[in-house]
Amino acid sequence: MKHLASTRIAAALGFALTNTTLLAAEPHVHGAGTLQLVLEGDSLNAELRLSAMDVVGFEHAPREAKHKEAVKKAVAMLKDSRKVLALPDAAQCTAAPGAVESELLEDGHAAGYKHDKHDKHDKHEAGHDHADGEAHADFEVTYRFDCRRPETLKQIKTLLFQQLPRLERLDVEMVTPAGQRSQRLVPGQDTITLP
Amino acid sequence: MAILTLAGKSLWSRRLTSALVVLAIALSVTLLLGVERLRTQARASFANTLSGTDLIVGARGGPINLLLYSVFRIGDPTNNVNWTSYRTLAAHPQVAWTVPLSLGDSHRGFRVLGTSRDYFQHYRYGRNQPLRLAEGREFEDVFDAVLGAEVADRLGYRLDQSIVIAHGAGEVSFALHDDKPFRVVGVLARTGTPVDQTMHVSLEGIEAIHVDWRGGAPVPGMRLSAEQVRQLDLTPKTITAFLVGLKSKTAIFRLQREINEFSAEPLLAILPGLTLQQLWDLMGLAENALLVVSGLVVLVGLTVMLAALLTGLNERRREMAILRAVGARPGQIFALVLGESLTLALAGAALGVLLLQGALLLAGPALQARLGLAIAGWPPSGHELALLAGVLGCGALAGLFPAWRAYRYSVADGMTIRI
Repeated sequence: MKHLASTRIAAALGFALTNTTLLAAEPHVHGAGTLQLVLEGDSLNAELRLSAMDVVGFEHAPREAKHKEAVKKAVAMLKDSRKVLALPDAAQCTAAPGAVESELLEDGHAAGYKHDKHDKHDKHEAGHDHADGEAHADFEVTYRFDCRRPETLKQIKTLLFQQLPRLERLDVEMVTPAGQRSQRLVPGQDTITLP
Repeated sequence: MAILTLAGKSLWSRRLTSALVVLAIALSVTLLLGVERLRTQARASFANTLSGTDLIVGARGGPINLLLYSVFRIGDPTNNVNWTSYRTLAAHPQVAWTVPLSLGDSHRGFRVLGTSRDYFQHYRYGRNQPLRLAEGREFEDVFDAVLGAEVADRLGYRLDQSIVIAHGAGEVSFALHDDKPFRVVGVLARTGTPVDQTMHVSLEGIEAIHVDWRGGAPVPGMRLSAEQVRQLDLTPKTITAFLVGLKSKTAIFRLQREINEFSAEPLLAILPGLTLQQLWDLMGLAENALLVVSGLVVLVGLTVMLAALLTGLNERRREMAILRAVGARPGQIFALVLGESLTLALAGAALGVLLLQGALLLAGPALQARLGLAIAGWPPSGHELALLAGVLGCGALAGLFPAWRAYRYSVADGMTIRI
């Protein structure tokens, strides 16, 4: 038993350390999302992470009809890449539908949640087990664009701030053949400039 | 036009004061542009040091710290990376190449870097430029060393010279690996990056000079000769960090996450470009402070001009009165004084630009050698031109006050003066 406790502490410590030094996957912060873009060849890959709080306004498993409805609407919005990122027409990109993952989805990790109290407990356990160290609920969306003229991709506008009023900032990390760059977007300054 | 000629002649008649004013403005402009240039070029120089590397992996700690010690040889690592972890990650299906880096020893103030021959193949700087050997060859033997251009230049080393590595990173060290000297087999062409200040040896070489050391000192009674050491297994147990190139950049963030969650040992993977940007964000405050200070110095320069013009007006009451008497309108007097201040500011700015070019021409080679900073003086950037325009604008603004005084008092003042 004692042994078990100490491994737990060690795990928790390791978890804390991971979170402070992780750059790519910032810890779960309400109001702040991350977007990672990689442009290689003709394809632009994007990975978006948002806290469920910013997307739907709650982080527990949706039980009531209105919560379920909110999640459904959010997923539909996030899937539609045109509602998230506005790529310049000149680049002539076609988008595959975004792949949305979240603990709040019925087929996701959250399927087993029942009671609030249990919820919390479960989530903490899940936090340790999860590679990403999530103790809350997140939305992760991956997009892929195939562009005929990727060299004209210089600026990308994000429409997320209009869609998600709770979102206060979006930290963007980009990797293109021209280099690596990061940029912080806030409402009003919502255009990504690629290197 | 006549007014401008008159302004020029008037300034010429007071050339000593004018020259001093121009000099004051010029020096302040030199400082302002110099700070701006150093700032932007230092950034460019840092950005040029490493290219083509997707990730840098080291022991877990601060990302900026990892970038500084692994690439710029500034500061020290917090911990090492196990050889087995390195081999595991190097064999990752997404990884195209890796370059191990082992730091910690020095040679007369220059860092010694233990690495593999992949370093010469995959290390890129500037715009994806590879390293080039100016003479000699890459290291092959355990005790071969390849010098950076600056190391060879400053210490006057040639091929086949035998050199002794010191333990630790200090300029002066009492713990020498003098029983196992290295031989210079190659010298790299100049790159303008910290590579120039580095001595490169193989990882086995680093291991070899430490096999009979424990805890930072030689083990008494256990001195192995270079020949005996060669017989041992010289696979290193740890390295300091390693550079990673990916097969496809699409995997970069995924691999970064994977490495950061590496279970065998706490590791940190950074994207060098992003981390460099973080560093600049930190430095931004200090840079802006410098820029503000140099801007204030320009204001001081312009104040000197203002003082000189106002004092001059006192001495030129008669001149103004005579100009009025021969038919100059008050507006023309106003234009005359304003023209003078503009001429002074313009001359000061021009001289300042020239001074900066001269200073960079003189100090450039030293900066390149000592700091690995390549600073180009010409052409001025858009931002610098904007700063210059700002200086001229302030000059004109400062000239308004004496011009207004001259306009206002030219007649009454000149006629009632007692001499």
